[in-house]
Amino acid sequence: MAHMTVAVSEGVFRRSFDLLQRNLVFEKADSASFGSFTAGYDVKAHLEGGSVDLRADGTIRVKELDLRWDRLRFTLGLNIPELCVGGGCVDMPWPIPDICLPRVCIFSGDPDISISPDLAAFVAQEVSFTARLVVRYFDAALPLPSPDLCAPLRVEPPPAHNQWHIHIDPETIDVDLFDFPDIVGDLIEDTLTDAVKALIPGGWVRDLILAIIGSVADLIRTILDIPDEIEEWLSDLFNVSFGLLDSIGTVILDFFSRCNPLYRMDDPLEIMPASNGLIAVRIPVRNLSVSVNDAEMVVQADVGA
Amino acid sequence: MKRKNVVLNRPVFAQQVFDSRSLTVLTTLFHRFPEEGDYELTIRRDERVVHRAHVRVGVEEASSQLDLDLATLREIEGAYSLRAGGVMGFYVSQGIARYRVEITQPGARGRRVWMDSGRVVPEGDLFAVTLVRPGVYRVILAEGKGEGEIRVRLPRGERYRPDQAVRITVGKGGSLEPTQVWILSGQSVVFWCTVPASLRVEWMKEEEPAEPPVQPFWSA
Repeated sequence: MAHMTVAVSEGVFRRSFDLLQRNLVFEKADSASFGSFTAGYDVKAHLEGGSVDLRADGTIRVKELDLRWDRLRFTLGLNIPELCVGGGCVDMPWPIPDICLPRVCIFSGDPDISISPDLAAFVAQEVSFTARLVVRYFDAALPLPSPDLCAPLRVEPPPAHNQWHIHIDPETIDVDLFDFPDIVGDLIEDTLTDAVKALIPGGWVRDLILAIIGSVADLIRTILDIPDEIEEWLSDLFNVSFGLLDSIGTVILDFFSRCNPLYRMDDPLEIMPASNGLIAVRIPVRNLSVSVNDAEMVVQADVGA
Repeated sequence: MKRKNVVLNRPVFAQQVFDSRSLTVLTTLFHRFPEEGDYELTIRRDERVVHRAHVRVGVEEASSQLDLDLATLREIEGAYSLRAGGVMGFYVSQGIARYRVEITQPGARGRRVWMDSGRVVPEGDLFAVTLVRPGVYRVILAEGKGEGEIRVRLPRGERYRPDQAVRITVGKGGSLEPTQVWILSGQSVVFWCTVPASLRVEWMKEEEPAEPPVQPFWSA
């Protein structure tokens, strides 16, 4: 039988979890070249809301945490393909071979355009996961790993003394796929159209260039090789190509499982503070364990020698 | 929004006069080599020689058409090669310079001039103009009294391809057949000179509102 037992009610547990998850900030930026275009992102998000349920099977279920985007800047850069006039062939009577005309191109170089709309207002996602509670021992005498992957995620600096840590260890994390609404497709198309038109002087020169292109919308679809709607293409880009969902899952996992304990207990544990010239009374804590049932979290430990 | 300013090939939009005796951007001169042999090619830019090369005609594995961009010429090792009966096209992709092309052949009785673009387009050769600025153009021949008209307009929603060309035959007495053609902006008109001719195409005025439908292609 354990020397000491501490029980934490589900309500208190929820409050503790809420305080911790408010500190989780996901921030990432990257870009990649996809041949005819480049795409990148600069994003920042935090978690809000959700519900926590302690379950009889020893797990906790965290449901419908809102992933709120503080910043979801999407950068798209296009190289306008070579646009030329002339060309084509003319049939000639025998024995003259058919004559093919050279093309003369109207841009000297590869002009490019880049847009960076912030799409934070147009997308919201939810995160859910099932987790177990795990106990880890923090030995202050040991150096931190190098590189310290927890450094950007740690809410508090590492303690200067030994501690028992109780972590939430997610087993499976579900993050909703990015699903941009139609309005985002329209926004990107309009922004790109403005960018292309801004490159070209007005009047008949612009009319001609747009006639060669077909339309800016056609140009965009050709360059991006979009078979469907822009918003669907964009959702695929975020869900698959950027790998953001994996990154979000990894950050949530590391934040709770490795970098930030839900509860801490000093070892040795001070049970009487120093007073009247007497030193504090501290007891060594051994064999700390944690379990969960559908009503509470239970922590048990022994007092060591 | 970041953007890099586009550098337009401005002469393409600014050129309004095209002359076979003075090759500029949007003009192309085609010379056909009916006889096998070795020829000498001289290119002058604004009357200064900028390129000399040999042309070997009758090379089996060579192509039947070779286009030279006079604005980006580089020295070559050896000679340009063409099949027998092949065609060399001389065009200007950029810039405001004016070019003159001369093709000669040394012989026992001296140098034979097959073509001097500064004088005349020889019989059997072709002169092409790609017209970009919308409007009405006048075609004038220095020889004879031939005169023609080219009407150029912007596409208005129809299927549009710049790589379409219309052919006009230049005949005896400076006659043009047909005398009037319609094209869309960015398309080309090719003058086939069945007699020696010097051609000049000039932009005259804006396009008038009501235009007849454009002939997508004309063949003799």
